[in-house]
This record gives sequence, structure tokens and C-alpha cells, in this order.
Amino acid sequence: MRITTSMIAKQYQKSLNSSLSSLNYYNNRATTYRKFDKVSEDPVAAMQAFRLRREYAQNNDYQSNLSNTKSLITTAESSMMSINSMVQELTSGDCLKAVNSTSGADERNIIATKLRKVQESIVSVINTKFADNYLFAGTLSSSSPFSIGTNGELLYRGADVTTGKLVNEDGAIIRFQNAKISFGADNQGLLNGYNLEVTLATPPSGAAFAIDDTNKKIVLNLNEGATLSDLKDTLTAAGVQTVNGNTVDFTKVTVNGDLTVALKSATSQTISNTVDLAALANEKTYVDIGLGMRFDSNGKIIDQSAFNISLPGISFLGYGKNADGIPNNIYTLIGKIADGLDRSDYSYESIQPYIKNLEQQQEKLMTNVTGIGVQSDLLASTKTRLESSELNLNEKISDVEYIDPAEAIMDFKMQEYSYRAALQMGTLILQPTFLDFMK
Amino acid sequence: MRATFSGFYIAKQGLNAARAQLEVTGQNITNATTKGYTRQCVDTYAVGPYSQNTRYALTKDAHIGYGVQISGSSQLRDPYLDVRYRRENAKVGEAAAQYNGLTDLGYLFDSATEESFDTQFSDIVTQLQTLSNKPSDTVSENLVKTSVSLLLQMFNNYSSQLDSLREQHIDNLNNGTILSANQCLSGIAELNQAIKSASLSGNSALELKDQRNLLLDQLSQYVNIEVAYSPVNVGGGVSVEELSVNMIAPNGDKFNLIDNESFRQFEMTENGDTIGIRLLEANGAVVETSVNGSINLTGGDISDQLNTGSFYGELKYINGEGEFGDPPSKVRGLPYYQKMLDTIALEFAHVMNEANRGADGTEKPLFASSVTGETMSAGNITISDEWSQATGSYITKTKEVASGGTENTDDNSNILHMISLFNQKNAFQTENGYALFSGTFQECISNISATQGLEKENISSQYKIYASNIEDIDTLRKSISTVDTDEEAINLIMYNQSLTACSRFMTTLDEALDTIINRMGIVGR
Repeated sequence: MRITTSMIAKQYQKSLNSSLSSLNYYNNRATTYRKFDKVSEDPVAAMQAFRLRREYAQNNDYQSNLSNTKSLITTAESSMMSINSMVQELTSGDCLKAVNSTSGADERNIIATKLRKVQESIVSVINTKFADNYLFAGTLSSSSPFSIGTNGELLYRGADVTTGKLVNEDGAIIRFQNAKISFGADNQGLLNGYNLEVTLATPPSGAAFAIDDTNKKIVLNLNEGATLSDLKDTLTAAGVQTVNGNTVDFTKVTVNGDLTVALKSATSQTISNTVDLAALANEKTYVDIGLGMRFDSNGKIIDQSAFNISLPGISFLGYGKNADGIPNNIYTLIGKIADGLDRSDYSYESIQPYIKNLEQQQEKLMTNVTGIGVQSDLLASTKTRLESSELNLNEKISDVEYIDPAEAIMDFKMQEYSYRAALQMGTLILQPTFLDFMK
Repeated sequence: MRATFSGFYIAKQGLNAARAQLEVTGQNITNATTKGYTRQCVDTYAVGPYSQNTRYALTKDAHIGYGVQISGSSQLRDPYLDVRYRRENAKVGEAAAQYNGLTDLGYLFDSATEESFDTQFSDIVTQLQTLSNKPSDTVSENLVKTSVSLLLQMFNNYSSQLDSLREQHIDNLNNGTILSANQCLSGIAELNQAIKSASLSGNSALELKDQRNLLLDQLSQYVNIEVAYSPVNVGGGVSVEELSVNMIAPNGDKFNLIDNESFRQFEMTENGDTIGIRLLEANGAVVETSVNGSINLTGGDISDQLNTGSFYGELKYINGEGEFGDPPSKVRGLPYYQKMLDTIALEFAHVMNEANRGADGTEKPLFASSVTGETMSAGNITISDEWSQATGSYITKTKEVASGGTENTDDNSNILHMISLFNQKNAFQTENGYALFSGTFQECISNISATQGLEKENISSQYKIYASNIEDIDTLRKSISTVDTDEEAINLIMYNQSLTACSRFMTTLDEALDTIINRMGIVGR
């Protein structure tokens, strides 16, 4: 092929430029130690890097949740341990042994006072807060769970721990689309177990109110597009009615909530003034600590896939009554025993069933406290697992994204060498021409 | 019998030729670095003896020719290489247009280092995790809101940047690419005219041809062209060459671009969101029919008749809807990326809005369109008025119905559900139901980066191949056409010597004649 000087010059220029651009590339690598800056440089590795970063971020989330949970569980464990030891002291301590003998009224009074002190301590401990949250409040952790009612009964979130009755409500209530409907103090108990059923008629056929005693229903037929305010008006307009043979005054109905909210058709709620204590004691709140959180077909979390941090106080202290009609709640039992000791016609037999149940409940409490300990172990092992996978991820990320510094510098040096060689070649290639030798 | 002074004639011819050759060498040397210059040479031929077929031919004679004759000057150029160069140049033009486009897009999606969509999604999950620890804490909820609004701003921002990228490329097509192509067309037509009139007077107009070849090379990067030369008889036994340029359609039919001195012009058209190109006659009429009549275009949009060249590349980048097109294609231009973002934004908004419904199914949208009445897209997605104005808690914490009359405001089951949605595989699809991608939001977002990265890698290697091909062809062309100073220097000596030799020949003849005329037959006088 015929070669001309301009061809040589142009080709040299081109290769010198490509050598310089390589030098720039390796310089970049040697200064950042990154294998690639752009996805297009290595799309496959970039996708891997993105995935690893996501996993790393997730791992960090899990770890922060876990350390939060761990301190929460530790606090819970120690609070429960202290309640347990107080109760244990009562059941096995001198305190109750003294009762077994024939003690005098003064002595019994002292013991009763001591018991009441223990009651107070239990309430103050069980209302423990952890980082602004009440530890033993189930799913309402932003307000203090336990309080004492007017008659000295223990209330868990407003409900009597023995009967489940809502003591501060004016009679039966229902929660209806985020609003609270109360049926008035006078109607207390009369409507319990009845369902409030709302249907919306299309086209509108006027508001109608009906009582169905056989199916235990109060049926409201409202117009399409009716609001909570319409519901209230229809209820109060019904006036005095006979329900199950009792006279109920519907004018006492009050509604708390946003009255402008539109109602949904075909909704039905049971009217009640008691709560299901067993349900409250089984409330669960989960935290995602990387156990592979999954949901079942009903949208409920599958128990093993997340960590339950809900510790409803009544599940530790007991609720309801046993088969013999003796309350299960430790606070209530201690109260009953103290009351028995204070009585002038005191007899050991009168307090004996309470003491027996208290012993049983204390054992349950102990079991529950051990249960928390087991949870705490699970957290510890999860923590180890998360930490080791974090290390693993770090290693992978550095494998995928970063280059060995020695290699980066070597590459740069090699390229620098070849660029210098190319520069030197330039002066050799661009030789003098024939013209220089013409005379 | 030869004439006495015929030798002088031969010598004169030789001097003439040698001088012409020296001058053309000078022309070559001075233009050694001129762009597009093709080296020239003087065409000469040896003149034979006149004796053929004469009536009184001398049978016993030397029959010597009459020296050298200049027939003209010509260029050293291989037309086949020009054809190859122009065909390859169209591919380079196409790849370059796409490569440039993808480089622009890379400023948005190609970063593997900086904070991106992906990390913002992860941040939302982190904020939700914090909220799940304290569901009723409005501070935590505000942090979620802030994180989410940063993501939405990212969507808005990317969307508007994609819009302005598209504007820039349309503007570049209209006022850059098409304008220069039109200048090429008019330039070539003008040169055609000049060359033709030069040829009429026998001038080969080599320098004008060089200029025309440069323009043809330039034109070839825009569309796939075919250059045809046809001799035209202008009478008096003189014929000149006319040049026409056609654009070749995929089916083999052609659209005429230049016919000697008449030329057509390209014009950009906007049909809704689709950009097209059409051809206009000199009088402004739209060209709708191809040369052989096999293509008839209503409105004259030739964008479907392009299959290579930078017009094709630009249009693919500006119009390419990829899987969103009807029918779906693999041509992924800016609209594809825009629609991909829209799809993710919409899916994200739908899934989260659905998740935030109240326990009784009431709608509590987290996201809405900032323009009332418009469907949500990456460009207009924003935090719903309800959420942005909410002072207390707005995110639905739980859909569990509380037991009896109690409340469960600190139940976090729905927040955990929301967190799980970030790990849930969604089936992303186009409005026409064409499946795009199945994976989490984050996977889908990184998939855009990956798609872009792979396309760019692909186009860039194509571009490199085409560029190196054209480089090879150009080198071949240069090896024939460019000036080599060594060669010219040698020629210089050679032609100089030839001139000297001719002069010498004349001197010798002169001496010979002097002998014959002045010295012959004077002995004894």
C-alpha cells in the first residue's frame, strides 16, 4: 500500500490520543480505586453493586431495629423480674406465713398495708416507659396502660381487668368508622350484644329505623351518600323504643368523630360495653429484624417471620377469673387478700383461695419472664447473624466495586510508560523527508 | 521524409509537458495539507508518426512519433472507495447520533456512584422502619414524609430533565443536523452547476470536484445516499457529466435529493409527540412519491423510509418508545425512559395509596397529581394535599379492628405491610398490557440504569466498529489520493531533469542543424 506522510501523521495523532485517554481512565481508577464510575462501563457488575447496596441498607435497618428491640426487651425483662420478686416475696415470704398462724388484728393490718404498698409498686413498675413508649401497653403504647378505678379496681386501657367492663364509658359503645357512638349511661347494658347494621339505599328511599329482637339487630336504612351526622340524626329521631322488653331512650345517643364522613354501606358492628380481655392480652406488634417478614393471605404477619415486641401487661399480671370465680389478676388478688386481712371477721379460709391463685399466677408470671429471656436469646443470635452478614456484604461490595490499589497503580504506571513510549515514537516516526536531502 | 525542423517541435512538446508536470507538482505540494484535496497529475500521451495510410507512404522509414502531447489533468481517486466510504459513513452517523443521545441520558441514569433513586427508596424504608418502632410519633412520620417527598422531587426532576433533553435534541435536529444537510444539498447543486459550465469549456474543474466530494461525504452521514453520474450530450460532439444524488429507501426505491442544479430540502415536522422529516421541492411542495413510485406517503413523512444515517439515529432517540410503542419495539429512545419512569411512579403511587386505605377501606391517598385532572406521572406526582396538610398522624398504622371499645393507635401492622411492599415483586406493564419488568420498585429503577448502560455499551461498541471501518476505508482512500511530499520531491527532480533533457535535446538539434545549414558543403569554397 502507498503510504503518505499525512496518513502517518494522522494515524499517529489518533493513537496518541487513544493512549492519552487510556491514561486518563487509569488515572481515574488509581485515584478513586473504583472499578467503574458509570453503569455502562460494566452493567452487570453495576446491577450487582446496586443489589448489594440495597441488602446493606436493609441489614443496617434490621440492626438498628434489633438494637432498639434488644434494649426494650432487656428493660421489660428487668421490670418483670422486679414485679416477680415482689410477688414471690409475698407468696413465699414471711408476710403470708404470718397469716397462717393466729395473728392479731394489728399485725394483720401491718401486713395489709404492706400488701397495698406492693400493689402500688406493681402499678408503677408496670407503667414503665421505654423511649416515650409504655412497655406493657400492647398496641396503645403511647398512653399509660394501667390505672386505678374509682372502686380501687385495676383498669387496663380503661377496662376492668377482671370483668373487661369499660368503666369510663357512658354505657354501651361501638366504634364505627373511626367514630365512637355511645348509647348513654341510662342505656348501660340494655343494648349489649346487639348489632348496629347500616345499609345505604340506592336510589334514596328515606331514612328508616328498625329493631329486630330475634336477630339482635338495630337496622338503619339510610340514603345513599349519608354521613355520620345522618346516622346520628336517625338514631336520636327514633326516640324511646322497646328493645328486648326494656325501654331504651335513643335520644341519649352521642357520636364522637368527624360527622361529615360518608358512611359505607352494609356495615355491621356489635354494641358492647365490655372488651375482650383475652384479645387484648394476645395483641401483637411486630418489628422487622430480618427474619424474612411475610404476610398470610389475610394480610396478617406470619408469626415467625417477624419479632413480636408487644408485651400486654395483663398477659403478665393475669386477667379474668378462674373456674372457681377467683380473679386471676395479681394486683386484684393482692387487693383481695389485703381486704380480707383488714376485715374484723377475718378467717384464713376467706383469703385462702386468693393466696392459692396468687401462687399459681406468680408461677405463670415466672414462666412469662423466662419467655422474655428466651426472646432475648433469639435477638442475640439474630444480632450475630446480621453482623456476620454485614461483614460478608462489605466484602462483596468491595469485591464488586473496588479495585486492588496495587493493581490500580500498576495499571496506571504501565499506561504511563506506554504513553511516554508513544510520545518518543512520535519524533522517530515524523522523519525528515526526501526534500531535506535535495541539493 | 520528415521535415527538417520537426525535431524542434518534439523538443517544444517535451518542454511543454515537463513544465506542466513541474507545475502540477507544485500544485500538489502546496495543497498537501488542504482538506479534501486529491493529488493531480498531468495526462500525457506519446504522439505517433503521421505516416499511416498516406498515399505515398515511405515503406522504408523510421516512423518516429511527434513527441508528447498533454491531454489534460486528472485526479487519482477510486470511485468505489467513495461509495464504500459513504455507505459506512451513514452507519457512523446513525451510531454517533445514538451514542451522543445516550451520553446525555447517562448524566441522569449512568451514575454508579452518586446518590440515586435506589438509595432514596432505601431511605424511605429506613424511615418507615423507624416509624414502625413508634407508630404514633408524628416526628417519625414527618421524616417519612420528607424522605418520600425527596423521592418524588427526584421523579419530577428526572422527568423534566428528560423533557428538556428531548427539547434539546429536537432543536439540534431542526437547527443543526437538518440545517447542515440542507446546506450540503444546496452546496452540491451549486457546485454541480459550476462544474458543468467549466466542463463545457473543457476545464476539468478538479478543485471544484474536490469540494463537491467533501460535501457528498458530509451528506452521506445524514442519510443513505447514492451518487450517480450521467453523461449529457451538449451538442458539437461535446458531452458533460451531470451528477444526481438519491436517498435509498429500505425497499430499494429512491427519493431524489439532487438532480444536477436542482435540489430538494429536508424539513422537520411535528405530529403530536412524534417528530418526523419530510422532503420539500424547491417551490415548497411536499414530496410524497418515490422515484419508481413504489412509495406513496401522505404528508410526506419519510422517517419510515430511513434505515441508517444520523437522521435515523436522531429520530430513533427522539421518538423511540421501545416496549411502549404500538406495536412494541426494541427502539428505546427518550420517550421509553420517560414512560418507564412514569410507569414506576404510577405503580408506586397506586400500591402505596392502596396500602394506606383506612381500616374500613376509605381512601387516604398518599400521592396525587400536582395538576388536577391529570393522571399521575413521574412529572407531576406529588404528596397528596390531605397528607401534606395533615398535622397529626396520616399514614394508616393498622387495619386491625381494635378489640371492643379500645383503641390500637400504636399497632404498626400496616407500616410493616408498607415496608414489605418495597420487597414485593410487582409486574410492571405498559398501558397496552405489554409486560415490561417484574421485580421490586428498586429493581425496576436500577433496571432503567441497566438498560441504559447495556444500550450504551452496545452502541458504543457498534460506534467503535463503524468508526474503525470508516477509518480503514479512509486510509485506503488516502493511500491513493493524498499527496506524499517525498513522492512530489522525487517528481520535482524527475520533471526538472526531463525539462533539462528536452532543452538539451533542442540544443543538440540546434547544433545538428547548424552543422547542416552552416557547415555542410562549404569545403573548398
